[in-house]
Amino acid sequence: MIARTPLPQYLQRIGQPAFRNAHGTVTFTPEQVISLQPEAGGSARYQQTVRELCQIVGEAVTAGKRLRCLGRRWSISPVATTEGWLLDLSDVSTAKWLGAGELHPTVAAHREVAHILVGAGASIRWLNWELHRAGWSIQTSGASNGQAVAGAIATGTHGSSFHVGALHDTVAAVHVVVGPSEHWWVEPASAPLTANEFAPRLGATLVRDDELFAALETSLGSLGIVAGVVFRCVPNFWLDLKRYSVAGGGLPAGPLSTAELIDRLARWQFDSLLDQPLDRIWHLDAVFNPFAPDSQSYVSAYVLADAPPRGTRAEVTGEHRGDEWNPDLLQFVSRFIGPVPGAPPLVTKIGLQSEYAKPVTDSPRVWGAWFAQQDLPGGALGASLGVDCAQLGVALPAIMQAVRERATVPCVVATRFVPGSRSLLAMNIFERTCMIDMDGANVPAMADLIADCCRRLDAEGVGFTMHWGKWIGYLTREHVEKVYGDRIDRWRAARARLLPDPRLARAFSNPVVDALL
Amino acid sequence: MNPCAGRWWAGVGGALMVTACVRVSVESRAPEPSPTRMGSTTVWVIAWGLGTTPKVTAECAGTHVYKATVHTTFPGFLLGLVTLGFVVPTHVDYVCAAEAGTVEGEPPAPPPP
Repeated sequence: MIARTPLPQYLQRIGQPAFRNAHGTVTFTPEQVISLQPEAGGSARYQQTVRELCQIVGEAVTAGKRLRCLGRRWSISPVATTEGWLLDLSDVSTAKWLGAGELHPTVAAHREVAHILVGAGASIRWLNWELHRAGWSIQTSGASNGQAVAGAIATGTHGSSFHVGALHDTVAAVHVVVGPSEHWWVEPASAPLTANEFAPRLGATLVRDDELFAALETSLGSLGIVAGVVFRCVPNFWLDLKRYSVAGGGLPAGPLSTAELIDRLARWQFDSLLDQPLDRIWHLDAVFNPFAPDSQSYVSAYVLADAPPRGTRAEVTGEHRGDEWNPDLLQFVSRFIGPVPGAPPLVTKIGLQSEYAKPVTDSPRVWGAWFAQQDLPGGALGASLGVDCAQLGVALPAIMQAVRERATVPCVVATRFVPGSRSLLAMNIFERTCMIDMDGANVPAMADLIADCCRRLDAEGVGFTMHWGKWIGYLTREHVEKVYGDRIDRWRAARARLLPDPRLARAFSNPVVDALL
Repeated sequence: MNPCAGRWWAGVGGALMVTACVRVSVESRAPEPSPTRMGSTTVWVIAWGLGTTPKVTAECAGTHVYKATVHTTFPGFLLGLVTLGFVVPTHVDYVCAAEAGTVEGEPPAPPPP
């Protein structure tokens, strides 16, 4: 069932003056909020959702309106905003295990991998829970789990699973509504997923095409309305968190200077750094206090562990970590304490100490339990810059120097590592990509700082991508074209094939996509 | 007073006026939060709550409340102080749960470790 609510009526109902994203960084004014309400479960729900999406697309095109999926309001950037119709699919979450008879024979033979078709509006959190109950797991995700699956993929959400890639690299097929009466089941021609009869059974057109699939993996919500995606899942696995204070000489590799640590990270010498076999390290990140990296930096490694005894608590949803931060605290501290000379380094040091210097749990957890952050401090602002690891030795010092020189706002710098992706607009376009995350409060000084860091990278000749779902205020069409090269033309060509009618391409776009692509 | 310092103090004072003073949240474990169904309202507790207990009806259609937060603001606290608790405004925010998802089919048995 399709429920439409004009924005004024909607705002009156929720008692808010404006429509905001979950983190309060973006305010926008959709003309109306459209919510799909379930009338059935299972396949019937999924197929009804697809039919209703087709209907809404038709109505939007006829009315000359733009149409955008809301996801879970998780993006910090305005990538999910629209002045047109805003579509909420969160109430029609579905998942379907693909059986051997529904899979391509070459895939069905592999029992070590399972495939699940997940409705676009389902959350990562819910997916983690359902997979865990079945003995399976996704292979990677972002640090938090509040995103809708389609939104997380469309914006290039990454973790730091350097064997696996980003979340979109674990997708095997995408089901997308491309017109009022047309929806395509797209999978790579080089790695067909389903049996030939599967897509037609959904009423979809089966398209096996590497280029379209590579575009759809990071669609920015502009290549049609994604109805569902198929994840490649692996048997559930357990991870131990091992955390080392680099300055304290705690690394198994011994005392290292910041420059030596960056050099090891850039070369992906994680095994010698941690004295662990590379194939046991599933996820690794390094966090720096940019004001004093030589005296405060930490390396966290999530290492494969034996399964604990049955009955060990492994909640992957409802993961409540005690009291949550006052949503106003981070902004308050950054806005009013930050400008006091000497305060940003002190606040950063205390913040990092409170999070990283405390003992970590000694019991292993499953993936969805480790990366289950829901209650981000309110008013947070962050950017993620993807750089070629070969240039990490230039990029990271330049960023930390900018933070020190400005010293206007508390800020933490973290690095994560992801292999290259075929996805055309992914962040991880370099063979070995380092994601440099900068996190702070949503205050003008933080945005200015990130922009300054971007300028310095440009000045140093370091090409970089940006996480589409985080702060992207520095991006211009010229920058995007320069860093992505022919990938941009290929993405545009794929859009033209998926949406040959310009009215459809316009309907699925928004000001961010208009400006950058 | 230095104008910059004056603006700083004014900013701090302004922030205190709009930020929450006391905040308590109740959150459900199982369901997922809805990104669009939520509510926010101010209730007035009069005469120390001796007469009536303000009640907020959560407009959640067919689902339950996922999270409710009750908080006062600094001006509300001051009003309560001045009136010796006779009038205390309290703000209530809630987020509804999304409809439960459904899973179809049998998962393949994971291979033995």
